[in-house]
Amino acid sequence: MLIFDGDAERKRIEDLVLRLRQAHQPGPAPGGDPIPFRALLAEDNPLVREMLRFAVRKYHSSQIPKARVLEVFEAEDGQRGWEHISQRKFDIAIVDFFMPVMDGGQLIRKIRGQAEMAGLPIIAVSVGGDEVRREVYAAGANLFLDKPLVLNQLIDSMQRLLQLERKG
Amino acid sequence: MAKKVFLVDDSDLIRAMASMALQAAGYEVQALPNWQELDLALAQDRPDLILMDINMPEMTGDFALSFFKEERGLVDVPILLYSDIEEQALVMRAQACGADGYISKGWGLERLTETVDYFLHRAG
Repeated sequence: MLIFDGDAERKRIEDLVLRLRQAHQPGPAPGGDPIPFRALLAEDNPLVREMLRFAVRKYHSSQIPKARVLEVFEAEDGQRGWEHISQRKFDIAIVDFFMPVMDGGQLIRKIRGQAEMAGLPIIAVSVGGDEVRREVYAAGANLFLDKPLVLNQLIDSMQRLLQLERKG
Repeated sequence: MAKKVFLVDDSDLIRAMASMALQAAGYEVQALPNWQELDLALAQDRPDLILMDINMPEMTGDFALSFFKEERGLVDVPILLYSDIEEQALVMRAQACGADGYISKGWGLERLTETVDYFLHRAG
């Protein structure tokens, strides 16, 4: 049982609960602006991250209603990616396999270990061919794209996964 | 003053041969092995033309071409795909990514310099 020691404390906790609910809820927030379209990019190479952001922007501008503003969160390793992902709800994650601190396979396993993130579309990207492909699928990735990445293929993959997710 | 050509290709041999041919034709050439080196070079200097290989590490040349054109303010700089993939596929990929043109490696070094001449004289 929760015991509040005053109205101010109760209000503070209610606000916190409301904010957490909104952050983890897809679609428009009750009485507020539509929830942003959030993408996580976990990739240790800064230029490649920028190129991935470019691809996500292309996808967002062509496929997502303007009212859903794009928010891109970037991580240079799996640990930082996990920090982002455990703080807010994402619409899609693009995860490189070879990263320092925590690799992409570990990050994907951690995400899939959380029941509320079971439906998050995850695209794993990497060099390494079949060995890495097997590993990321075993960890729970929805799709694996071999590097070098092709822009249209990446955008089509985002579209396909997000359509499947909407259909449930 | 000699016009500047940036050539991005991960093959040492192609960089060496194409650079030699372009330098012999009077161009100043900066040969770069990857996208990071291109990005650093662009921060220092603005080329008159860029040649990009398609099969490169991390991102294909057509992905990088769209990115660099839009994100590094290179809309006015001719960028050509320079590749050994089958010619019809090369044409389609060049059109799809917004390249100003393409050069097949199979055409040989003479046609490489002729095509660069064509683009740079047309531009300037």
